[in-house]
Amino acid sequence: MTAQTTDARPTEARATPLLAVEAVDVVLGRGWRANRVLSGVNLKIWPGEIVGLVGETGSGKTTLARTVVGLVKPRTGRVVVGGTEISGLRRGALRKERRRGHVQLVFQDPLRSLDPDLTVAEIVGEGLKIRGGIGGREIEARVTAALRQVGLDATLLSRTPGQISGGQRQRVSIARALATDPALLLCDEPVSALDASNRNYILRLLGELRDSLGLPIVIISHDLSSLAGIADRVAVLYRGRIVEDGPVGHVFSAPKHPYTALLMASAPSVKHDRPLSIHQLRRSSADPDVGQDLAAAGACVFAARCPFAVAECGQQPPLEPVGEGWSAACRRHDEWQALAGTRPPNPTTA
Amino acid sequence: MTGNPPPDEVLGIEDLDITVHDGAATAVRGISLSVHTGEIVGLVGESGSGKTLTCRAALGVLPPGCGVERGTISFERQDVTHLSARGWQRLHGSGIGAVFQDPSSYLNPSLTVGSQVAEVLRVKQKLGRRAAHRQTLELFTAVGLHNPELVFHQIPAELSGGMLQRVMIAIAISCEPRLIIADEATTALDVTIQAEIIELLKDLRDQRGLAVLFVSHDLAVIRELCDRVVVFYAGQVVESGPVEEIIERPRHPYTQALLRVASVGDYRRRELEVIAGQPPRVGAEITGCRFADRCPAAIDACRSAAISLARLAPGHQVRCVRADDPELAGVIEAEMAAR
Repeated sequence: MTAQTTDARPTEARATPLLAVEAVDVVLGRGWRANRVLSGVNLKIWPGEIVGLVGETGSGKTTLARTVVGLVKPRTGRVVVGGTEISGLRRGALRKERRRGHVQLVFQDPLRSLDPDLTVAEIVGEGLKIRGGIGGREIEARVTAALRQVGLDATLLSRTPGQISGGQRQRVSIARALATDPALLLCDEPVSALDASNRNYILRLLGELRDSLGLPIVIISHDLSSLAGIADRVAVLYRGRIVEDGPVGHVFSAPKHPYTALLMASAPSVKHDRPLSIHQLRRSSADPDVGQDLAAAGACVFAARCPFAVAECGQQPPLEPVGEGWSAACRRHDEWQALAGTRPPNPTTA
Repeated sequence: MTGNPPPDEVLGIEDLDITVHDGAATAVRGISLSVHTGEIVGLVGESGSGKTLTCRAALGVLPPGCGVERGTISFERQDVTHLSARGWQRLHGSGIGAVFQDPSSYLNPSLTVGSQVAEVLRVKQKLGRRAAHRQTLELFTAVGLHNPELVFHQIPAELSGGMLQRVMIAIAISCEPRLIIADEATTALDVTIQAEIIELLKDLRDQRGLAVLFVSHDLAVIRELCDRVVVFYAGQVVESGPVEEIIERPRHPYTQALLRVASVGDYRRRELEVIAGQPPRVGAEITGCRFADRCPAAIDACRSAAISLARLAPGHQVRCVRADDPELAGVIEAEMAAR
């Protein structure tokens, strides 16, 4: 697998993104239950790239995926997939667009997302059947082809999800997504239910699909390290905002947002070679009060957990470019690294 | 801790066999391990390798149809292998605490978390209402829950996964146990929260001299937390030893494979390796090494006779006929490159 970087792509391919999420705000619930899940999210996916979307529970990763396929309506902003504005479509038009299967989702737990009573053949062929326009024999041929693409044998066709292993099940759900020839694949935590060996197998498979089909893939994960070996670009989501977005090499080697750095330092590793320890990146009770309510509504989303917060962090900074194809939403994106180095690497025993 | 008394064995498992399906198949074979005071021991292996069964046997809560066929389990050097249900109940909470993967499924969703912790104290320690309340708040502080009074009156749905896991740990340590058994206790959590729970377990070990048996399928998590590690494969221990030693110099080809697939968080390492093949069926009868069919360095000797755990260094044991073969590393490397 070759590591394709964003810059290596020809310029004409870069001119139109396949997916553009523009200034999207999503509010779920109404009245006192109203909860702003996404605020001002901008994300572009270019043809043939693998983008990792990282964030913790409740950061809005899944809501973003649901917005992209039109399952959630944004309050403001728009979602454009291959020239069609999904967010503006209404009932019939939206249903029609969805049936085409341009954008496909792969879910975390195949045991729960696949119908236990259907056979593998029925599961993979269902999307084609719903779209209509082709005969049963053609569907069969496409199903077999989709299974071959994910490295599964046609002997599995008559089995149900309960009769195959966990790794095979996840491959079936990828085959199901591939059957309709999607233009974009969104995988929501595709590997977090799998052990290390199966995880690598699935990630490798996604990489091969990108290489052979030129298929752009968004991989949603709460674990930065599982994206390390596969993504070209990562976007870090924190409480509904993208706080950093850039090429994987830049973001991993010199993160510009303290939250990205905290994620990196928290990821368990068999090697102990972290530049910064979690204690250097975590706000403690010893950190000075900056005279601003950092948990207030307009403050930087990460400020209350950030050890480097200053008074001006009382206002959310916009996502600003910090390098070639790289942006971060932090006022102190150039200063905190030096400060972190001076903090004690081990917990201070008070 | 001041002074260093010789560490006491808290949990001892000797030559344990566990059968499943009412004795039809042997899922765990000849497991021996021990956990001492102030020590965190990790069990690592794929799903189905028998680590959870071993844990449940040590807790006296084997699922129906499973049974201890052979071997002994001792708690503080007392044989508890054939303890009555009553006897186990006395040990639970007071001697042994347990923490599992999904905290929300172990708490009653309609009661406040405080009342559920207090209940344990009132039943197990016969505390009064007031004393149990006070003790619960102290426990919440000990497991790092900020604002314990507020948390006391909240129901599980109002707390995050990390906070719930802290509540579960509070229940586990409520009656001053000497041993905590944690089965995939951090697997469902976010990485930042996982790091906090790992730290909490280490602190509890340091402050209370707890012994911890920690089960995970992720060698990286084991590395962060444990002192010693026991590697399971298809119901057997294939390697065990100090965690540093196992990570730096793994001797069993399976341990080496686990290390190759473990997350290192390195964006430069683009080749994602997999362990080829599938583990044998639970209870499969295999002569010789159970990993041989997936092993890149298997030779005839691996399949001809049963292989025993050999001692390599103090505390480091391995079940491999080629463990001392200087060519082993080279053979595996060449095989991996060829694939």
